[in-house]
Amino acid sequence: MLKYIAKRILLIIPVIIGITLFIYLLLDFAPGDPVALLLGADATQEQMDALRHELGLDQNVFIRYLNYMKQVLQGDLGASWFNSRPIMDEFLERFPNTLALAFSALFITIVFGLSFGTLAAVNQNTPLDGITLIFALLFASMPSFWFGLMLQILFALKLQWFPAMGVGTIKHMVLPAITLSLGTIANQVRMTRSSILDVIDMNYVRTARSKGASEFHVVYHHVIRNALMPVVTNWGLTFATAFGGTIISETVFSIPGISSYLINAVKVRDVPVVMGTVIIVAIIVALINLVIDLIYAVIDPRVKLGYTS
Amino acid sequence: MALLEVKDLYVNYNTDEGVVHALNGLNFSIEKGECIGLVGETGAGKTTLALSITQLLPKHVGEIVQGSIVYDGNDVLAMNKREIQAMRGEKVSMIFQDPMDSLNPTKTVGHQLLEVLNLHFKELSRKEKQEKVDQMFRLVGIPAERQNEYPFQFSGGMKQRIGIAMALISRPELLIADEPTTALDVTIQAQILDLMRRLRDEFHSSMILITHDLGIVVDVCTKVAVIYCGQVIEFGTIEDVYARRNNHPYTEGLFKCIPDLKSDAKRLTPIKGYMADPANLPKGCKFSNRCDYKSTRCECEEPEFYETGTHGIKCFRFEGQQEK
Amino acid sequence: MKKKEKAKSQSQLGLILFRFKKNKLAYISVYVLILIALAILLAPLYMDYDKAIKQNISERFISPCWEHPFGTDLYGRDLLARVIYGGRISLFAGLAVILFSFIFGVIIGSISGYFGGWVDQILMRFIDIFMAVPTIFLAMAIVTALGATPVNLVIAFVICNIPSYSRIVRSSIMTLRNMEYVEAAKCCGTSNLRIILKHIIPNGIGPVIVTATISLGTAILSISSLGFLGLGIAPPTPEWGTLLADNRYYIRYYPYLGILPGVAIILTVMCVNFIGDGLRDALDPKMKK
Repeated sequence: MLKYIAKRILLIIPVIIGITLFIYLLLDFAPGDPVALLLGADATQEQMDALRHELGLDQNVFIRYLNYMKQVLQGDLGASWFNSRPIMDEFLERFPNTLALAFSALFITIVFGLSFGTLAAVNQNTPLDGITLIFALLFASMPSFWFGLMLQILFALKLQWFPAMGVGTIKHMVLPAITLSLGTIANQVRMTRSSILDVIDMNYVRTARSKGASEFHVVYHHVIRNALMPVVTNWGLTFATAFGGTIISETVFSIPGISSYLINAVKVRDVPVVMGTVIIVAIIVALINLVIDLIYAVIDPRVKLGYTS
Repeated sequence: MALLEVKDLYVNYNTDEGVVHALNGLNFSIEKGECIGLVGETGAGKTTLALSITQLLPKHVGEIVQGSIVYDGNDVLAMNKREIQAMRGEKVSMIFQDPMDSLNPTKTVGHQLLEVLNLHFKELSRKEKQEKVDQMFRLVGIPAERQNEYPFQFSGGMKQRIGIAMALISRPELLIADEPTTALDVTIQAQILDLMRRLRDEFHSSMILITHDLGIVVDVCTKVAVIYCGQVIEFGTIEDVYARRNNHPYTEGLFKCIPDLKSDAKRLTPIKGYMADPANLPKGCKFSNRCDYKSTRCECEEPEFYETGTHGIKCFRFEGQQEK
Repeated sequence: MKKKEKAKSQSQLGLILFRFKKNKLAYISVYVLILIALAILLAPLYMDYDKAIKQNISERFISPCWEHPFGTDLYGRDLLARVIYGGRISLFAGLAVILFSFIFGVIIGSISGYFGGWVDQILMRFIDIFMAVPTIFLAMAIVTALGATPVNLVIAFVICNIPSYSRIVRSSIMTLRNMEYVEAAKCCGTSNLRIILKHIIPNGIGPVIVTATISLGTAILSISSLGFLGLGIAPPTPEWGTLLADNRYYIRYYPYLGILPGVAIILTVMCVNFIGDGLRDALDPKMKK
């Protein structure tokens, strides 16, 4: 098991190198001069050259990338080109907000997705099933920024149940987290439902019924765990989607998180900030996937006993 | 009084493509201690009958339209959920066809045996339950230590042994075995049949053995019922049926399909044609389209069940032969 | 076992169509979507593009009325015109994204799944790289680097979608590759390309089509999300995300500014999703009894 974990962690490295190199080249390739953007229209040629030298932009792009990665390996993500603030400081401030948001969305998704998915499957082809599915599709069809705006206007500005923006209390998290889970919950409901329907037709479920178990016992002991396997595998993707979705929630609800940091950096092409964010996010997503694989191993005895990888 | 009596049972499957008539007025009964073989080809309604008895027909699809099932004096169709659950597993157990997927892949086999006891014998102590489980594993010839392993760690034959152990651990009054050996190798088949015979004698359970193999029935059972198109078309003791003096034309056809080492016949004689479409059944005798002896009457009128002693045949050829 | 398919004389395609038609919501959605697409496509015939673009401060924030069914926005532009012209980008960029992702996904996935071995290893490692960060981050980076035009938007989302398409194709091909009829074809000396084209793609394409349909909805939403973030199409070109972002601070005073465009987007995406859902059921009858 430990060996497996170590192997998985080692596999993260080439992926991170790949994605950072891709983004680095992409930003470099982009038309427009970042130095001109930084100094404004009335800068002289000397000023621009000086800054270009200072930022190391007069070197070959691959050399710059190598230097940058060397620096990252020493734990230094560099400073923003714009306000010269160390990126690490900014991250440490913003990261808890984004993570809290993403995890609460994942939590909401899992809780509601599993319960409604199970409910729909167990009551297959009844009105309850139909209504759940139609609502799931309706939610999947809503743009999350629109949904967030509507929540904000209704529950924060009109009814004033929750604060409209910012961070601080649990109450601040409610609307953004709901907005964020919108995109993932529908998928979770549908996956859970179809996975349970797959399992409920299995012969071993019939065996369990033939033993005289109650319907609840059958579903709880024999269906859910087996049905969970494909659903759990999907949690990694759900988390990544939720993490990406924070960008909308953070924008709508003015939350100072990683995503809003990234979006400003992207607009002004603040390369160190974009790179830093990408690295951190890639690591987080990879680690979450690793954790989910471990959960999977606990559920599936075949993996636990090392019969399949 | 019969242990189980099924009377005039009609079961339909309502599918997207139309209504399938799986059982069409099936009559069947089994006494305490009897072992009846239920023989018929694929699609004849054998499994449907088994699932109807334990009320395990697929929800929303399988529907009992008419008829009655009386178990030990109680009307099964009138039972509420709890009564059915109390009957299943404790009084009536089932062994299923495919051992590969009849066991839950994520639970240890020991746990799956123990579950039956947890459901029906709550009064037993933990230790007593565990002892019973150990004993059951030994009885079916699997080392008790292996009960902490998962189904995927066993071979097909061993899984079927576990299935048998699971069905018998509650010492049921009635055991329904739905083609328990069809998915297994011939050598394993013999072992499993032997095991079932032994355990049946030891536990004094009644048994319904569903199979498409007349050879297996003669090995294990005392009586045999031949099913065709959701009806029992011949019923009798092994002697009645296997004597091959009086048989339903379909049973006759089945016998002709069994290779016989002693006879000189160069080739087997298969029954011509296919079983009638259960979504669109003929009006008269269901076998009439394949029958060599058919008359015009067979095509428009359904024969009754003509009984001679213990032997009954649903064919006009035997009309008036029965002793009163 | 006892099930009998009445429609057995029909072809596979006919059977799928037959099942699809039984799903009323999906069937109606096809017509609604066609209607929406026509309305968007034929917009220049009945509506002046100027109405969507030209600012007219004297007519700002007119509530929905006969002349402006959706009202006007903060610059006095007709909201209905903006929604309809905005749909051109959202809907057709979405379609283009799906089409190209589908093509590339099928190519990469087929190669990877069919040949396996080191080819598969290399391709999958590349796929892993693009799956390392959430798609919207990747799309953001690509759009900023290339510049915010409709074409670049499509390129960005195609790059983001290829990995998941390839994976689905790959896994369904890996299952099919070991099927006995493929073995049989190999024994007959059929060429690799022919096996892929004749045996594997027709049998494995179902789930991919369903994914494509469903991800069309996602693509439309993602494109408008980027617009909302100010990274999509540059103003004043109308686009579903940007037009909501423009008005976001006025929605609380003039709710129609948010509700009507929102409903238009939801209706479109929902039709797409219902169709995808119907297709899924039609292709996989096991799910619905």
